[in-house]
Amino acid sequence: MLSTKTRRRTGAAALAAALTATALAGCSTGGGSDDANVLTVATNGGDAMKAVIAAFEEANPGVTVEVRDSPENYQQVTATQLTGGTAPDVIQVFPGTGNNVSVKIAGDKGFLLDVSDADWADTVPESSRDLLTTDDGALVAVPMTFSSIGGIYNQGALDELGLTAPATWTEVLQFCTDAAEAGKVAYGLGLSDTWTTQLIPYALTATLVYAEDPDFAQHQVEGTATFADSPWQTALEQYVEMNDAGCFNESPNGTPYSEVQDAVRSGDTLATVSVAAENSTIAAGGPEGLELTYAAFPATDDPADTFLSATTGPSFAVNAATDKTDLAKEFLAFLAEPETQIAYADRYGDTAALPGDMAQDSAVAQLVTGYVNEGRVASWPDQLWPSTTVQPALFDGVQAVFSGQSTPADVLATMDQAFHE
Amino acid sequence: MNRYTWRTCCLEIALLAVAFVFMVPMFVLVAVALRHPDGVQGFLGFTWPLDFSNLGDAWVESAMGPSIINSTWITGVSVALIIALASTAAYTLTRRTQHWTKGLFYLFLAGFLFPGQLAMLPLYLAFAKLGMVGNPLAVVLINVGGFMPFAIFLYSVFLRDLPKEYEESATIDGAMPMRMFWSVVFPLLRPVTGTVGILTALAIWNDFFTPLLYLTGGDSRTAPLSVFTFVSLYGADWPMVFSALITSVVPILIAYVLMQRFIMRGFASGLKG
Amino acid sequence: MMPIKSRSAKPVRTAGIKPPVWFLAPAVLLYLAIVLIPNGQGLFFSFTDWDGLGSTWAPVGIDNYRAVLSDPNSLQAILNTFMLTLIVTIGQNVIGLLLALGVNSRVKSRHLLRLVFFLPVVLTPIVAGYLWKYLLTPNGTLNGLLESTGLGAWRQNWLGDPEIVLYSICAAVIWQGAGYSMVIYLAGLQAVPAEALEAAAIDGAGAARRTWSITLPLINGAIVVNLLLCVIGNLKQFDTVFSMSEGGPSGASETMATIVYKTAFTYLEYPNALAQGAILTLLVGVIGFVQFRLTQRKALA
Repeated sequence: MLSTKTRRRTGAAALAAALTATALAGCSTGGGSDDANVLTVATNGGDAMKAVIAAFEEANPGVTVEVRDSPENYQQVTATQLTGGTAPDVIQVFPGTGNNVSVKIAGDKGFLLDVSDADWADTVPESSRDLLTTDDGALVAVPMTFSSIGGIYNQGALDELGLTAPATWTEVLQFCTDAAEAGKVAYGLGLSDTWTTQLIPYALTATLVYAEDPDFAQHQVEGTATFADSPWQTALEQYVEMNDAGCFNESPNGTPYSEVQDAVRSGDTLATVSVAAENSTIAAGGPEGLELTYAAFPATDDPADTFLSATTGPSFAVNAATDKTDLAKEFLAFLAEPETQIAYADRYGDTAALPGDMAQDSAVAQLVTGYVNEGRVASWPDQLWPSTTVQPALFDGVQAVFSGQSTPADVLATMDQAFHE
Repeated sequence: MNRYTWRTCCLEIALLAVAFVFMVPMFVLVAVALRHPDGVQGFLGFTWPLDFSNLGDAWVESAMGPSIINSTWITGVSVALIIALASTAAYTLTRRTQHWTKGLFYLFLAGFLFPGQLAMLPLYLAFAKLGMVGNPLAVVLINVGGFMPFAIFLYSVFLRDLPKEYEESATIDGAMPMRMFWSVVFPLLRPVTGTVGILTALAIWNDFFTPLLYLTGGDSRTAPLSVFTFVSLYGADWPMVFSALITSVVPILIAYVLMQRFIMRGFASGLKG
Repeated sequence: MMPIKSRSAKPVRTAGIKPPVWFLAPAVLLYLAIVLIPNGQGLFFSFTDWDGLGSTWAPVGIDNYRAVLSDPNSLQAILNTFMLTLIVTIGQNVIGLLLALGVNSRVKSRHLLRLVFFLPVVLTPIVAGYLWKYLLTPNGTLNGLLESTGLGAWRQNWLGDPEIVLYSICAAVIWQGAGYSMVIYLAGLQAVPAEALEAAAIDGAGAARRTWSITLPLINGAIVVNLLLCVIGNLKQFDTVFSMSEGGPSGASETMATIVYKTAFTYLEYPNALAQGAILTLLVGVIGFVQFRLTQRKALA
């Protein structure tokens, strides 16, 4: 016979187990609409998805596509929905690792449908394929854009001062001097929004690190390379050099990125280093006739050295729990068509990932295509980092360097530590 | 002390000065919302001329009208239930002075402590299992359960100071408990009901994460979700965000003014009684 | 509503007033379902390796707690949280009480003033944080105002300087919360019988004296409520901090709640985030309990 005490304890354990069972019993039905002709699509990418669905609805009479756009907390909400079995039929996922809605994490958990046998699967370029494939070898998502980081220049403001976008490192520093003499800020930097801290380091390391050693991350894993003992050091020192040369606005740490956007629009700031899609965002909020130039950001004194930091952007996958598998797969096939890709990318302000034989007219796309064709492209480093603490270490580190509390060497040492956590 | 003396006048001037300082961020909010793209910038960033079209555009583009209707009924039903359930519960807890009521009171207070992140996923999974995700009723239930500690605490503090004579005479008259509560005690609680009402209404109206998690994509968006229509991945359209914000807080301001009158009236009648 | 005599009334026979127990039932049931059980589950999972995705987990004992407590970043966050809570609680209550006393007087604009001081409270906290971020940029409104009023020397990098950022956030939180405290104080003040103050005035007590020795003791309920809400709310402060600084620059304004958030969604260490949440609950509980006992004893003395 059980003593009272043990019985109580067993009771508590049973209660906990029952609660757990209730909590974890997944919902069998897929999320989204009960209507068989309504396909729900989750995205955090603004209007781009809305711009392409009309063509799909036209080709599939009776079908309605419902877009759920939530830029705020997209990852938390979607991850929670996946766990609860309530996620939309088609969801935007992130290439590689990095968050709970990324291919390698959500995909490995079995939340995303294997679409390896789709007709479009062969058109996915080798560089993207890896980032869109789970560890079990299942391709799960169709890439929509090829996103890059570069300098965005207010051309009107440059023309007024007779300046051009720099193509070498020395020209960058000269550009800063010229801008300062004209009473302008050369490069706007809004580190108060932490995601912007990484932009210039990624742009610089594309040329300095990853162009030289494309498998740098692999070598780090093997223990034959470290951040500290690599040209990452040079890259961060050049970042500091830019600050010392007066390239940036007063106190970047206290400046929000939105202020940088406004300053580039008005021409008070001549340029900023940002993601390509920002070309259209900045242009959209600016005065009429605002002309922006997009250029790769140099790190050395030979323009031929310059690599573009670019990688697979927003991608879409089928929720494995959906009961509209066929319709959802059809939708993915539609997204992979060159016409859809270009319409999406134009609206998103970026380069289409699978343009096929079609040419994309936008200046951003032409620049990116040029670099891709010459093979001068390096992936964003974080998509290959094994630990989720490396990127935050870079964010914190850059802010600390700008407030004088840290040095490039210390930042890289912390990042090395985080890398092997 | 009922007269308007020179001291009162000094106080008035001082308060108005403080009010002006308090309003500076508000002025900036309005200045950004009404910024004319080609206007000349002046004091606190106000442009000349002002551009009132943002308010209308924000209202239309964010579908603020339907959102306000959703927010209004979600908030209204939640607050009504909170007031009904918390006032009766607090009344029982304060008037029955036994060990278990004290324990239960502290158990309710414990609800203040949880930081929200602990329960987020288990609660969501429970509602997902019930098939209630996307249903505004889920948000109402979460609000009512979640605000029980706050409302019971406020009611209890004020109930302890409420004299029992009224209830006692009503009990002697033989009124049923429920009837006695609603006709005798509840009217005396008017000021605290007003306070609980406005403060919970405010928190529920402004809650962002619960509706985002439970109502995202559906037809029942709430006002704060509509404000975020203009926040995008890498930045936000601030004039539109602030315009939408201005239009979204109007109902809650009206509620506040009405509640203030309610509190005043309660004060007057409470004292006379 | 709270006639002064209630306080002096003897603890009279309450035998006559016994509300039925079922009055409690709906409140207790909802509270159990929405608050206690899910938090209990969260607590349970803090002793497992459940990553918040999918349905596999195994018990890991106190490993998560050990990992969290050995993280040096947590200590800084705890200190920041205490600092923020202390400053905001004092600032918000002093200002809120003064405002309540002010608008409870005979001033002609009292209705307008009540609305003005309450205005910041109605803004969605996340958006209010963005507004302040906008005000406090290096070339923002505040620095501009200082410049134009000849106080240019007081210009600061309000959100970019790690030494200042936490205080800037405190100011924004107080601005948003003072009206909230004011409303609760006002509800208490409305119940102070005019006769008591008039009697004191006739006895020759000045305004400050009357407030200190008559009004304050009579609004003890409101003081207890305000202090408790303020302390507990700010120990869990997230929205304003996150929208103003994301806890930066480089962790200088990290609070316990922002750490929990980052652990869960940036570092993807969900079990550790649950353990941090549980520790935060415990800290809030201890502080809240001590404070409640202290103030309540005074209130009931």
